[in-house]
Amino acid sequence: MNSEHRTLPIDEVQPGALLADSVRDPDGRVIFPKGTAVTAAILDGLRASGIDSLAVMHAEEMASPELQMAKRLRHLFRHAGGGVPSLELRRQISAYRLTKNDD
Amino acid sequence: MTDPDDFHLDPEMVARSIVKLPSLPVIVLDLLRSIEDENISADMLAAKMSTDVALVARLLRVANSSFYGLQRKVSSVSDAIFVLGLSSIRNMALSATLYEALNSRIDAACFDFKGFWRHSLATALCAEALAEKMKSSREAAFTAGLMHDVGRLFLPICFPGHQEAVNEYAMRVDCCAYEAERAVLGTDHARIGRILTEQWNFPSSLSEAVSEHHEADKSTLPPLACVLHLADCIVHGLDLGGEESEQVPRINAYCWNEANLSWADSQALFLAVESGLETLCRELDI
Repeated sequence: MNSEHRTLPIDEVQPGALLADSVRDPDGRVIFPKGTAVTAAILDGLRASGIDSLAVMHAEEMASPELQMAKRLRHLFRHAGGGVPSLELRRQISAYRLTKNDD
Repeated sequence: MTDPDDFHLDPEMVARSIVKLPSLPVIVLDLLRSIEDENISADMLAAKMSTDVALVARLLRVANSSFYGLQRKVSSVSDAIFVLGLSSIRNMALSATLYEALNSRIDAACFDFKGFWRHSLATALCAEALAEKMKSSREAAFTAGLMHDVGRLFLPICFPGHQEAVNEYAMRVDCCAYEAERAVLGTDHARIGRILTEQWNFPSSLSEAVSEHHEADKSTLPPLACVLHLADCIVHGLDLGGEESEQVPRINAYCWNEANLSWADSQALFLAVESGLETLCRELDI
């Protein structure tokens, strides 16, 4: 991964910051894809699951294709509701797009 | 301001106006009915398709395209069925004939038919792939995907003024087409699709699935309706047209749980839909 990302203690990460790396669960499943804008609730959840630091993007990276993709997905899912199905589908599509970009 | 009641459409009005629509070509109805008819043979179906010269030309072009990578050229519909299977050929034939039949009835200026049909094809491919996982018939799912939004063609043809009112509402409120239709017309394209497909004597499970594909809140749905609902939501999420107004409808939790898609399932599904759509559109000139 890009060494220019900042890895910060989770308590210093502000809501709105963008993840520079995907956050995965112990089985390797992506919980929050790279490019996710973290919210206060997400930060609380990560803290609760024992994560103490996060890699977040620099400002110049925020115009990256990853960010554009994350913004577009937020727009597409704007009325899909906050239930498990829409959150899951959004994560799965996000991961798909990122894998395709890496190819 | 127009009185909102001006645009109300009751089922009788819909049924009366649908009668005015031209009927579908016989070959489309034959292909549709053959899905549920175990007595029909591949030879009979090949003979029926062979009477449509334009269709034969298209089928052979697709069958001989690099997508299938056949070692030798196929030169008849029977050959194509033998090599690629009845189900693939029937799906291709339905996609081509329905496109022709529906496209010729719509005024291109007031409705983006190409975009509509790309969404229908993508939903068909997605439904077909989901069907396997959700214990539904792949062929019925493909056809349901092709036809799921057919009710959307009714308004621009029979009630263009109503269509404009729906568009205006959807733009102002920023909601899905079916929500705007329910607000303005008191019905939606899924329910209109049911009346239309019943009129055309489609298999009843297909009419039912078309009619229920926007039921996000029901605690349970029939298997084919479940497949169709999810396929539609997934295809909206894949954003294949890239329009600013594109949005994912609310997803029915029961259907989502029924599909139980693993991470690997979903990644393979998205790829199959995107690559399948490109191939179909290229080979069918859409």
